[in-house]
Amino acid sequence: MTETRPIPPAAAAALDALCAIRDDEPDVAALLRAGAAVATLRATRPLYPPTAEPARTLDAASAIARAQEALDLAVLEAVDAEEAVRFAAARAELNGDPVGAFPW
Amino acid sequence: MVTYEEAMSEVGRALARLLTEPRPVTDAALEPALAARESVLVLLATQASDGALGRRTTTDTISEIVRNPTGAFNLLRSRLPRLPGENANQLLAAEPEDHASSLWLLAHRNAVVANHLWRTAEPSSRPQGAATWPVTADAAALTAALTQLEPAVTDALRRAGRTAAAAVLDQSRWSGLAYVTEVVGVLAAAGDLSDPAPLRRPGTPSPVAVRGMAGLREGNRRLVTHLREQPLSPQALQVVMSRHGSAILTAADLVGPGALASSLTEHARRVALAARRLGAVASVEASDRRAPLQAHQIHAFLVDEARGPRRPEAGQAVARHAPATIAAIAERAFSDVQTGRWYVADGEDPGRPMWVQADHHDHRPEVLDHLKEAAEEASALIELVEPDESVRARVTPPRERLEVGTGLAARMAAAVRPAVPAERLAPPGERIAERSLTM
Repeated sequence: MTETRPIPPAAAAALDALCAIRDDEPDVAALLRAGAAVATLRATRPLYPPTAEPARTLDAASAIARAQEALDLAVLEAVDAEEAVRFAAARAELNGDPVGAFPW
Repeated sequence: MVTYEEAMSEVGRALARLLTEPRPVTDAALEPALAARESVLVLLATQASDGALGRRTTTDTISEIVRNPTGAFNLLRSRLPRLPGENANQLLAAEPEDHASSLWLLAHRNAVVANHLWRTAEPSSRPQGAATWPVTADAAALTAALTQLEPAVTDALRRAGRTAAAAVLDQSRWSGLAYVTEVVGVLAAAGDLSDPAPLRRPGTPSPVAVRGMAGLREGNRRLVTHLREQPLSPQALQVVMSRHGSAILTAADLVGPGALASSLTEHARRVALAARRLGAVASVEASDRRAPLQAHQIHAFLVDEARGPRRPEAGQAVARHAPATIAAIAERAFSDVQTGRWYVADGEDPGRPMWVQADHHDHRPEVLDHLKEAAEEASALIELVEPDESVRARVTPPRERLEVGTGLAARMAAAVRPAVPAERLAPPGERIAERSLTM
């Protein structure tokens, strides 16, 4: 069985919001930024457990705003430097400031 | 990012320009000239030792020169006096003092680069057999140019008070190398001299910094190579796809409104939708970091381009590579699933989902179908993209810049080029007999 670690509540809230963006979202750039942020949040060992398939109903702007707020809190509540850097890097992805050398 | 072909072309160009100079070796150009002469001779010695310049011989008799000109050429060239000069390594980064120095330094640097690229290329990609004729012709052209420039080097050595070195060089002029070089040049030109296949680099290349159009083309090529050759975690692939999708969107902006921009935007959407499916996949295996770094470089360059020069050709370059990139992304995902590197959620207990190994059956990641569709749709982009003129442009090899043996060619009209440079020439009697048999 693959070892997993629990997702911190604030990071889980950010992931839930970003995964709930609807597929017909007209802002493709926002969809791409959200994708990079999700990849950054999930780039951790042990893995986060899989999450249930979300209902994709949110528009990108409100989902990203919700995720940004959650990530601000996640950075403050991070239990170690790795978590804090990862959450901050995901936040930067959402802002459109991509991180070049994050260890995905 | 210089290729072997480009470096060789630059050596030929520099020597060709020196041949037209009224004073090819000024006092300031003496050390650069000696360094360039040495680095060209080292390059040719490397190629000869790899068997790319025909056979080697140990005798320099007249009959050997007649029957085995490439062997005699290799022998006499290897006996040329070596005058490496001083500070040849420092000259690689030196500022030229005059025009002649700048040309010699150009030849020196490019000969060093060509030698490095030849030696570090995959051995199987180096020309072999009949394909070595163009390499031999290049070697003859460079040697002929050096031979013609040697009197000017000798004069400069004398002016510098290095009379012993000048005397040694003077002596070597009577070795017969000039004649045999012409013979090899004429023989080579008597048959096909099309460019051999480019040399291949061994291993997976490192990411390249993208600072201009040449870097963008190379970066796109390397991204495809990284994706094809190295495994990635789903998260790394998701980041590559996000960067790639953003680059495509920026490319759509750069090319301006039209059918291509619409198709690029639609393709970016497909990439984004496929990428988000990777959130449901995971891996604990090591992931290569080159593809994300390269994709980031390409994306960052395009963002700068959109803010600054806004060259449509940058957008065209991305559009041109988009089908190959998404195909390589799809190949990577299929391969990593095939090799059991990726996990998907086991849907048996929705309350406690677990990661299980992905496969192409019951645990097939949804992303694979999206990638397959995106790769198929992307092929239509090719029809909308303008052809890349820079790819068609061919660098001129030394054999075409530096004519060898033009006077001798008329006298050697009956020369029959052997299949490979290493073969001995048939005596005239045999040659006539062969020809009458084929008539």
